[in-house]
Amino acid sequence: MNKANIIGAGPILAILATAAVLYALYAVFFVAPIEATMGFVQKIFYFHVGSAINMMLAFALCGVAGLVFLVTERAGSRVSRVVDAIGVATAEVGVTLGAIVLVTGPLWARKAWGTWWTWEPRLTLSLMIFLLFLAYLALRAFAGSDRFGRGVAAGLAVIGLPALYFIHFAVQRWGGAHPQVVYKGGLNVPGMKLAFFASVLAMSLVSVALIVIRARQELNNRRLDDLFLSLDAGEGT
Amino acid sequence: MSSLRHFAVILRKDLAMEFRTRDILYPMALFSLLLVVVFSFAFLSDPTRVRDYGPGIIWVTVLFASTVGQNRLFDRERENGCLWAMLLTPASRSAIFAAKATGHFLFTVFMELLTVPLIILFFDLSVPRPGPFLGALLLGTLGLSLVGTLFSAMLMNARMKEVLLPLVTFPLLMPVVIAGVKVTSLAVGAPLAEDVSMWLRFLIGFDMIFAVATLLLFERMIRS
Amino acid sequence: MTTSNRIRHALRTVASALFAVAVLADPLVALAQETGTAETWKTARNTVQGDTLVVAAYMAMWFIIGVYVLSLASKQKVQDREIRELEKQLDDHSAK
Repeated sequence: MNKANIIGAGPILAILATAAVLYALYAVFFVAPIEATMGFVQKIFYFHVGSAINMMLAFALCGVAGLVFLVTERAGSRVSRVVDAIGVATAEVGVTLGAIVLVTGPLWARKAWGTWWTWEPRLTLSLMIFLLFLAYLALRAFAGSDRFGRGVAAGLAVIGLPALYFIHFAVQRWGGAHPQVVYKGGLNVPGMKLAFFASVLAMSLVSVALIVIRARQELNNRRLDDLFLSLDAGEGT
Repeated sequence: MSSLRHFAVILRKDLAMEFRTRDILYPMALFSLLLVVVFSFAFLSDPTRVRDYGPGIIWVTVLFASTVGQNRLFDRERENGCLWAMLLTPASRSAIFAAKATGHFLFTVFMELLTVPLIILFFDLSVPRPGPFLGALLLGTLGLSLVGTLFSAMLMNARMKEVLLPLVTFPLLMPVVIAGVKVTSLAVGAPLAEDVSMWLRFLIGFDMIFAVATLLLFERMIRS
Repeated sequence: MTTSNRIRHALRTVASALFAVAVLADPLVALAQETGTAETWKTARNTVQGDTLVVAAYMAMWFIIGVYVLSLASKQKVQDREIRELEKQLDDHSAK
């Protein structure tokens, strides 16, 4: 089966991801020069932003998966099973990435801005995405694992996309005339650029590997449940 | 035209039942009253700073009380499998959703009529700009009702519904709270260099987008 | 070697690697700093006490990913057990 082959790519992806992470770590610590104003602590930035970008992508993917699920769900097709599994996987990996963002961010802010936490728009937005992901997982865990429960979670993922736009807008204006922190300004040094893109790519590969492995596990779980059910039904007759 | 009539019939049914049993209004009103009392003890009363925390108290009260209403909104439908019966009637799903959301909106506004004047009274707030003050409350409440009704219907049969509902709706409603507190602060005369109309337009935009999104999602999600 | 054993083994390796990184973190940071360009190195050294923050950030990051991988592994363990159970039931069934 073609699809099974793609899904079975988990271990290869994991190896690729590990290699990319090692290379990115090398680039961050040994190639990129030390930033002049923030100093060594700026090295947190590379993996921090890499995680943040991939968290956003995971959230978007979760929303798209939810939409496809709601559209195809009625047919009970294989597509709806696959996107449902992708929904769980992206949400879980998204929460993991969000946790990384929210832990490394304050550590960097401590040195860069002199405070652990500030209600800066981007930080606030990350926190809200993290909370939405957590709500999604709570729905998956407690709202029932039938079609209905899956549908509610998918609905949250879908409605989360426009909500995110409003949250983004609101937190941007919320702080009043708060200046935007310009991240990209200092990235003109070649070594820094390399480290930045290497770590973004590394985190992408890590996320994709984890998502693929988790989605496959979820699909197998569903298949197992079905097999047990049909076995019970077979014994009953 | 007929779906408008379905809407009116369902809404009238809900209102009639509510004004006889007061199942939703009593808990909402009592809970919000208690919240106001708790807030008056929780904050040191400093008359010079009431403009800072007054709007926050109003919005937290509205948000919490509307959640209490959401929890109970579909209780009657659940008890006798009534929602499924309603879905079997020729009434369109959008009409059902719109009627339930409007019902929740009206209950919440009713609760606000009781609570918000009390907050203004207890905390000695002055409202120099009543227009934006009321506008924000109405627009914000509409947003709360749309999102709340959607997930209240979806989670009707879930165990731990009471916990799951705020968990899901609060992050989604954060923009309403932010915009609401902003407009209310400006309306009570907080010295902020910001534009009231921008935030009001933001609330209108939120309500419009979410009205469409929740209607579409309700139709999709209720199918199973 | 069953899958769960293999996973346990791999996790133990990862854990010891993490421990090694934890022990070696300080010398590694020093090494990394020395490889920075010479002129920025001096200014950086005078202004920064952020080494522990960087170490903490990277440790925390791998810790979080590690916890997630662990949870994946434990779910896999449950699944493997269920598969074995299913196979047993199938065998019983065909033996009947």
